[in-house]
Amino acid sequence: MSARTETAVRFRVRDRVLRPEILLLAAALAFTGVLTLVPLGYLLWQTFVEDGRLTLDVVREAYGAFGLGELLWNSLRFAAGSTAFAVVAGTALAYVVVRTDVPLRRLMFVGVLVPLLVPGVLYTIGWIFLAAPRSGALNQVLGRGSLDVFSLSGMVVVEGLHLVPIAFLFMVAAFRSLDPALEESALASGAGAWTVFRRITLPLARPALSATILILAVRALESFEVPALLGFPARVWVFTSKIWQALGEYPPAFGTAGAYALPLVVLTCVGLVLHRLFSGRSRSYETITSRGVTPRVVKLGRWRWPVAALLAGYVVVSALLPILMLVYVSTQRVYTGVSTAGFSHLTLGAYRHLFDDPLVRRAAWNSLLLGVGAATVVMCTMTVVAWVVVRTKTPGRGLADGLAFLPIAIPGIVIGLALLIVFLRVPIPVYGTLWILLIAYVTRFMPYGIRTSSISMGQIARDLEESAHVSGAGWWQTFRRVFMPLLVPGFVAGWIYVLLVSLRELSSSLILYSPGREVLPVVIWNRYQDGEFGELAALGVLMVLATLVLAAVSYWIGGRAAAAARR
Amino acid sequence: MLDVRALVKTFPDGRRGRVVALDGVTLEVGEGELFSVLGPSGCGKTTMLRCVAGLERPDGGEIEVGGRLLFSSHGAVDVRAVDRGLGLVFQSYAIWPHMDVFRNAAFPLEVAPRRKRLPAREIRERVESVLSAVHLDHLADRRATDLSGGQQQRLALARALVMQPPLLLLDEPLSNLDARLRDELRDELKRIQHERNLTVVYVTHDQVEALTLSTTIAVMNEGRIEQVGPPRDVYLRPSSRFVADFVGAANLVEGTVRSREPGGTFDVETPFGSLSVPSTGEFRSGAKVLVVVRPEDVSLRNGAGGLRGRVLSTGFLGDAVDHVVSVGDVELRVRSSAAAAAQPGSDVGISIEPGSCTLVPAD
Repeated sequence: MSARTETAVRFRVRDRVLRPEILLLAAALAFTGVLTLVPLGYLLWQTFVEDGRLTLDVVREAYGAFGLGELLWNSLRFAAGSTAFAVVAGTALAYVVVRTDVPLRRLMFVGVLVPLLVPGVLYTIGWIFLAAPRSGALNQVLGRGSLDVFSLSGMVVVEGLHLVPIAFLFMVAAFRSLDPALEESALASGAGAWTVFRRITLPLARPALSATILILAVRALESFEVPALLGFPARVWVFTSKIWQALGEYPPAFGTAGAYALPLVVLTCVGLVLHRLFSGRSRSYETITSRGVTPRVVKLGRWRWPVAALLAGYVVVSALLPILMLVYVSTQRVYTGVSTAGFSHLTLGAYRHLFDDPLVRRAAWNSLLLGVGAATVVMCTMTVVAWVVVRTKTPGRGLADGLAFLPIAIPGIVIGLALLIVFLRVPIPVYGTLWILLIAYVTRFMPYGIRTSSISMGQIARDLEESAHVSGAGWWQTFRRVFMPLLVPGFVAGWIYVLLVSLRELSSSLILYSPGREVLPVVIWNRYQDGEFGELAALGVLMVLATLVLAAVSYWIGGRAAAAARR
Repeated sequence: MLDVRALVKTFPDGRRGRVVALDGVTLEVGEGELFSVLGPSGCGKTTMLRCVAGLERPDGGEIEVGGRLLFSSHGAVDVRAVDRGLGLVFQSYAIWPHMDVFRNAAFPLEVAPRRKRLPAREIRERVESVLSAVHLDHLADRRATDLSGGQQQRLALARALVMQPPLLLLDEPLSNLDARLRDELRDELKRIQHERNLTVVYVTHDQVEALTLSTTIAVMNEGRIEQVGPPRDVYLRPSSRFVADFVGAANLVEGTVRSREPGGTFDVETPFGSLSVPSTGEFRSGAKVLVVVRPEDVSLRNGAGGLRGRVLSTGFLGDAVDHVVSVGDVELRVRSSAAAAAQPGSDVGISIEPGSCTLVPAD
């Protein structure tokens, strides 16, 4: 071999294989692949393989008593209904708050977001206290039985109300990023206000709207709390509650549960693929808008105060009522509906019980440990994956991105089920420990990690890294001294977000926890099943307060980062 | 000092094909030169600079700096950007917002490999000296984001200079500054270049910047070098229609060569009659050419005789006035002193100084 070819070969090896991004990509693919594909693989196996043979027996059995058609029909009605509710309400609220001169806009903005602070299980229970057919507080006012939360329409409304803030946030972003010049030039061309809305505003917002509809539909399909708590008594079954029911049998029917889980995953994956298509298109729309513009404000005139009243009414119903209900219940020794007698016998006994209960203390500690652990693992690993995806041109990076994002289409209850199957078969002793919960949380919340990391990375100008390279800083030094410090605000915000969603995770925890390894949402769930409403409500109130503090810290950090970026 | 040979770079164009950004670029930059690469946006000049810096990997060709081969597609050499040790100033400055002024400038010295790293005291001295050279020494502990645009530009320059690189690469460094600041920094850049005897490659789309600053200009278009030479040559004797048009304002008057005259001039038939125009090019009789007539080489006269024209419009520039004058079917741009200016709509006499004009091929 001549000297020249030798250097050529060495050049190629260093260049193609041993570059850090290739090694990192391999690590990223391994990490995301193991977390997402292995559980799904075991789920398929459990469902379709029996005694080493491929068979449809389990599936046939699962749908023998209860048809796939009805399950599909219920799930779609529930998902479509709550999505429609949330998108219509969220879009209208966003338009009013961003684009009109309605009074107290800032306060309304925060008010609409309040349900985000309440974990789904608490929000649902709050509405049971409000609208249960016999004991519900609203029914005491409106007359018994006028509202029935234990029904498909009850499910749709409660899930819809809880999804509204998400639709609202997406549409606020869409309306804000709309360059007023686009509308003003239509006005200048002689188009009236309604024509401008119909021909300019709406078409420009349509990609964002489509993306929002799809992501909400996926979330509604994955929802567990509402169907399990509200649909169970009413016998309105959807996929998630049916999985839960199958696992509650003795012995747990893993195969049956898998047969219910697979069509659900197919459905959510279709939604996710469509969502990616639409959000890609909405991004191409964003390029034509300029940043940092104040949107054009529509003057409401004499409708200003009526609209404000409507908005305030919405905030009261969606946020204040369920929370106040929890507060009230938490002050009652025995909850028997709202009454003057109840108000004269307020007690903090439930709170005292909580602090004295070793089980609750342990659950709080477990939740904290898992939240911090999941947030740290997710953000550290996803920062590296996002770097490979955003900053390198390595072929295969799209796959790593897709794998990290895939769990958004896997309902928590399915992740729980799949991991349960994996660790009952694989001789790694994590079942019965917190580790199995940690794995579930990391898998579930990877998508949030990859999203926040890639967004904040996209905002760091490439020049800043390139100038470090040219200055003689190697890959690691550039990462450590230039990239990481600039990334910290986004990293912390993402970390807090993952911590928040981990603290409220119920569906996979419920399947994977074991005695002594409870987390707070599981405690709430169990207290509800045992009818201990006072302690449940007290614990809920404390969780909402903790969430509020964390959200405030996150908002403050985000504001500081934005201010720094503006300079 | 810098040798770029037959550099080729293509980018995928989003579909199947590839866009050619550099189409066999060859350049030779001598020691101590201030070498400008001038061209419209998208001509490949920034890509060329990024290839030299090591931020872009060429598809083919060679790059050599001070006798050290940095890239070669034949010998399979590709020195990483990190190891090239060249100074680069970005158009956006790329000042790190999380470091103060001193840290920004000290960064290249602080990240040097341990065995080559200077002791802390020496780093401090070097950074202080380079900061004072760009007049930022009094702001050393200021946050980098608190600097004005001009100050950020100086800091970017200081950061590039602190390594004492053999070659300094500047990518449109003045394009984000307002006009006054641009003049000021241009002079300063020239001073620093002169004092330190730096070799500089300067990428710009601004012909005034290139003409005033450079010892040599390379005019680039569509990934190719059109002409290389001292500013005077490029301006006075453009070799192609593109260069004549892009560097300075020019009237391009169609004509046909009638004959070659002694002393390097050509007799050219034009709509204005026959002109005797000097050119270093080779043109046969009957060749279609363009006569490059700079607006300042046309003068306005009152009264009769010579060419007649009508002033269509004027533009007041302060120290001069631009006129658009129609002469027959041709519109000519004419620049005169404010005192000699004519009113729009007036009839004027026109005379062209053919000795200051030059010829380029018509296609």
